[in-house]
Amino acid sequence: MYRVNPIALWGIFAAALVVASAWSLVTGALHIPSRELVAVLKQGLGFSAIEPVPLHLEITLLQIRLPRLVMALLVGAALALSGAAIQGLFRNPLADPGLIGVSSGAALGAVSIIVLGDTLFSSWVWLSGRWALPVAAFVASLITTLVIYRISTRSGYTQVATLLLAGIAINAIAGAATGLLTFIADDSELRSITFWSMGSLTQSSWQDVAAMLPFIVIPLLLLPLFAPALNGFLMGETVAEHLGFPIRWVKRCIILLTAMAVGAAVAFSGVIGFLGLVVPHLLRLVIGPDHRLLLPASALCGALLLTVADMFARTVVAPAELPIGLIMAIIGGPFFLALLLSPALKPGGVA
Amino acid sequence: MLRTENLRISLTNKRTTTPHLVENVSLAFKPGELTLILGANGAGKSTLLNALAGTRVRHPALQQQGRVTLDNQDLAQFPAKELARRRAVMPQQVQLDFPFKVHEVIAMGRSPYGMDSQSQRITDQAMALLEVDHLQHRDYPSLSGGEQQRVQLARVLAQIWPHGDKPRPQADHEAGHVKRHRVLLLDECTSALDPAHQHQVLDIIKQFTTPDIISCAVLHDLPLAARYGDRVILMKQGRVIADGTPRQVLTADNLAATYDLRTRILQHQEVDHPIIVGLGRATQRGLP
Amino acid sequence: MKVWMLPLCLWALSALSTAGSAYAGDETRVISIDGSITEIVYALGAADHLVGVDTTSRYPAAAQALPNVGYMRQLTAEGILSLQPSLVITTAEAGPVAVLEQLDQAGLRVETVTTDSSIAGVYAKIRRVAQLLAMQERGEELIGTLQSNIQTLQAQLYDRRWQAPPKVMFLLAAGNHGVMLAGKNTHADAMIQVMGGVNVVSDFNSYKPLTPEGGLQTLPDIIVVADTGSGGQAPASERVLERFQLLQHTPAARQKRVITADSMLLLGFGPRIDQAIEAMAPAFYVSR
Repeated sequence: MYRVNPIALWGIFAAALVVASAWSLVTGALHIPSRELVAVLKQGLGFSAIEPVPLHLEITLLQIRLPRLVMALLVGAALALSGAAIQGLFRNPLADPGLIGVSSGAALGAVSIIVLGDTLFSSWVWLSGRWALPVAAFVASLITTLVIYRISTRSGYTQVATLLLAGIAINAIAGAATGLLTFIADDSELRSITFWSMGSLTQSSWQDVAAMLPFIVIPLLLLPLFAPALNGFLMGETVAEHLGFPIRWVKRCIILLTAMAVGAAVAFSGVIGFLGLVVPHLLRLVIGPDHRLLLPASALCGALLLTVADMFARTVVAPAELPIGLIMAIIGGPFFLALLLSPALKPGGVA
Repeated sequence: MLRTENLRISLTNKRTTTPHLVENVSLAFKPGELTLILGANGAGKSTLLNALAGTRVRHPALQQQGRVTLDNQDLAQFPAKELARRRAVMPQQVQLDFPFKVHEVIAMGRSPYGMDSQSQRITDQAMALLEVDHLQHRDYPSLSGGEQQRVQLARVLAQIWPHGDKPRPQADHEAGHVKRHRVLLLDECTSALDPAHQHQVLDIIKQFTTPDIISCAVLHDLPLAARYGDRVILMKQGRVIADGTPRQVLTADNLAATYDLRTRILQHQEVDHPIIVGLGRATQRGLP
Repeated sequence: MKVWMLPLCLWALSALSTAGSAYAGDETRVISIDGSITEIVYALGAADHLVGVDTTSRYPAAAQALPNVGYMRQLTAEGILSLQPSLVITTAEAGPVAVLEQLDQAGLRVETVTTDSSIAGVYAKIRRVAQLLAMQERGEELIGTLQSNIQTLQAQLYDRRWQAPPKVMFLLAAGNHGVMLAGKNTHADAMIQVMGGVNVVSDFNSYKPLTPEGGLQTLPDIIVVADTGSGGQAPASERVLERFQLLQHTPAARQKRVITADSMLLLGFGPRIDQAIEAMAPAFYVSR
């Protein structure tokens, strides 16, 4: 199959990312005249103000749109990169962080806080306030990952089939527990759960960005280092070991790093599906399955896609907003079906 | 030299211990020699080969006792990357569903060294040696079984290619005292090939087995074993029951004991190896 | 990472710069984020100042034509700012906190009105909103009218009161399915108290799905069905009685003390509370 030069593709993605970021900053429900826009940015960069800019414009740009843009870039890159790495680890192009139960574990943590926050965990919520939900989601995703890893690993030997089956079981258990919580939830809590489960970047603030930064940047920097090992994994664990990769270490690191990235992303932006599934899949068709090219390209493309999707989310029904998870599902669902149906697009299905 | 010392491998559950898959095997494999391991299905050949490869991550129920050493160093003590530079393994089957190009698959054999110009050159040479260079831009999953097998062999050979490792100071220092042999392990590497390619591949392996290469292959084909083996080992139920040159080992009695097979061994003036004709099973059991 | 490059892009855009800020500060532009507050703004005759509402503002119909800033618990700062309001009136239920903080940072006046589910609470709410809109006199007028209406209605209810307070079942009928039973600490419960009844539910808070048998056990004297607006079909009470056949054997159904009204009217605790009382009153008159 024909392949695009990866360097050219990276270039295109990087350029598109800059354009999309700029575009995302200038569009929104609130119209910001370009003169004010430039003035705000000049102020932000430390130039003295020529003329005072209305406060609400400055706040919108620097405290609302900019952190949100950074959040979209980080979450998009993290989800797509984790998806690519997990698919490589499981040698399964349909694998997804959701598949091994990380997302549903995080969702259970978040829903517990929404429903039980003001009764069971009241003192704790009072302690951590607005951080309660992200912290709970993150902790829950890490616990889920460790439990699944523990179940599927015996004396250092991780059985991928067991891992997948454990993931299914954990998904079912977490789903049932979440269902139980929605059952005892009241009306307004239900609305909150629904919105959270559809994903949103609405609340992004600089504090949120700062809090999630390490959890996303560390996987973003470290996961690409495992690209050669992931290539080896595609031929099976034994082959990877015979090629000299320390496969226990590699598996542990990849599982932990992806749990970290996905947990942080889910914690701050709710459940945003399909990104981790569709982006690597699509890129494999264009630049091939080599993880050394695929992982950076996935991060760039994921960031790009989520930035653009968030722009839609913010503007389509302005001044209200659509949940971004909904937009991703609308794009991703049909695309994924087309992928399954089209023999030419199946991984490896080239006659 | 690659040695096993009192190697025992068993499958141990909490409840039951099955008979040993490999029983008390002590063998020494010599450089420059192609050793072929033969035996009935389930005789422990692949298990032995895996132990020779020093495979560390294996099924938790598999228990291994005894040592495997390469040049007097325990395989368990080799750093993973160093071991990968010294031995390459071709498994029975490699399932790769992702659309890597053929040249990318072969280049993966160079993973322990990194992708430099030397690795690039060796990838090309390995591709040429196995005559798969015309396939190099094809997607691996689209190849036939036989083509895939030759590509995998090219990958495995590239991993321990002659002069493929950068000379390292320590290695130079040791060179005077310790010979650094490389090990080639093959598990049924001809199973998907047509007769001509079977001969081609074994011929290549034989040529590749230079004095600093130790080669060991599991094989099912008796005529091929007779033709290409420098040494043949027969295994049954985890034990070695015969070990020697093809002429010494491939006798009607030994084969009857190994396979429950009736054979006649012929000689022909044009060839210098025994010709084995299978006649049928030794013990007949009719349909009920 | 790419953020530092933005000024370059925006530099180019500045060439196209034309108009200045259209932000008007002197005129009161109000966003109401609560259905009952929106009703109060309309009742005060201040609809001209209203520039945006939330999804719970469904009455009067004109409010639905205004720009909608979304659900009151999932507000977005920029959406609200884009309507350039000078005042946002909301209740403690609005959120998320982070968004309200952002609005505060942007220098926007966000006023939170305390809500108490009682008649006195309605008066307090009207008084507060009127004060925020600098329409105190109009507010007192409105309260006066409400007070006299409610006094009349309550006098009638007192004349035809029950010996012991009637047991009331309050249901929320959403669409064709999903009938919810109101528990303690709900607006519905507060409304039952306003009407002088007691809730049949005493053992849970908030709303729970109604089960066929659970309905009958409680033997309500009166059933109130709040229609959440499925539109275009038979009255919600008929649909509910049809689905939950056992309810037809309750004292309420036998004596035809089942009433339906719009949920916003019944549960809003807004300036239409007199109408809500009037709508429910007939079912609460004791039969002689």
